[in-house]
Amino acid sequence: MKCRKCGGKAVIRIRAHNIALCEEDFLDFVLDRVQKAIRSYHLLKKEERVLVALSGGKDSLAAFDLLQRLGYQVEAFHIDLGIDGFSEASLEAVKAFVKERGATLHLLRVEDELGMGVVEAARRLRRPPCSLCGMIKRYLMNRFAYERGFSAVVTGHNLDDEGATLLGNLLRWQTGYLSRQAPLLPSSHPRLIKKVKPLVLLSEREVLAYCLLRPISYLPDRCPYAKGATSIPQKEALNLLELHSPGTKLRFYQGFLEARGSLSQEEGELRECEVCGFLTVREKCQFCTLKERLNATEGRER
Amino acid sequence: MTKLRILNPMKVEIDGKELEVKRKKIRVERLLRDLGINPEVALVLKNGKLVPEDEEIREGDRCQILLTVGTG
Repeated sequence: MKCRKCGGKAVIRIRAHNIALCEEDFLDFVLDRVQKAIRSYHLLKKEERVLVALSGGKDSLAAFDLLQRLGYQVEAFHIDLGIDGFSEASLEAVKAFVKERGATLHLLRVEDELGMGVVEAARRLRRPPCSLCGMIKRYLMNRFAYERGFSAVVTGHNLDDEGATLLGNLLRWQTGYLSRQAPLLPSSHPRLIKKVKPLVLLSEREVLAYCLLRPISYLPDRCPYAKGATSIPQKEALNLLELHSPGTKLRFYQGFLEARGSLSQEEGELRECEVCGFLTVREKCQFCTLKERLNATEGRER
Repeated sequence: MTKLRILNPMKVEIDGKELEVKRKKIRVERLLRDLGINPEVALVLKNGKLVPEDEEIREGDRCQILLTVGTG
């Protein structure tokens, strides 16, 4: 198989674009896809200070690497979730990555915020860890970015992540979530920092290939609590469709973004949380409510 | 149908787990199909190098299949 661009030996075939590429041209292809996403969805400006949330996995590390290659002012941010074994390995991968790039790393620990890690908090409230994890990460990322004067928070969500979320929201007809799903969640209030997903035009396979070729040392382990996550069969379903009809995932997601404008915004009115001042649709935000509920369990646990 | 004589089973590693494929040589595309792996969620390394689907894997090559779903 030959590279479509230079005629050299191809290392990867990308059926969605009907091309095969050599190593060098593939690395440029990935960079072009990120530039296209940034341009098409007005994600970032060069002068912005950008905080990239790193988990230690392939997607977030690739996002940081790509934005750095494109000349953005990026700093790294990591949240130690307090998941035995996994969190230590994640932090190690993140530290090695930022050290190699001479980047600044900001580190927060859930234990410092809640007095315990995510797993223990979930156990006390008898909830699955994943149900708390996303909310805690979103809250801490936003608060940290606001306090340190960053204008954007970047996450490594790729096309497969976004496609699976979209499919899940459609299967449950969650129109409120649908109206908010986008590569850019703009800042609608000074305390709400914009969220940006520059990898949305790249499949999970393309991001993995990028990490292998660049190379980027990422943590290949899955979170032990991700087993059984609904997003996995949704990704598998979309990839089965992709196999039979290459380009399906891109058409599904990009078509949705074009149609999204016609969906009604079901978001309640945002107001400041009476405890921390960050935005919520309730009197008290979910993070402060969580802290209160965990404090209430203190007596019972002793 | 061409039958391949098996001298030494080819060793294939999938996400760190090793299995044997009873072939002397096989194209990546065919290998994935035989293993029931969707090529949209897999990358194949031959002797540590990323290779496309028309590449042939032979006895003695080190073959690793990396699956993408659920990693991140």
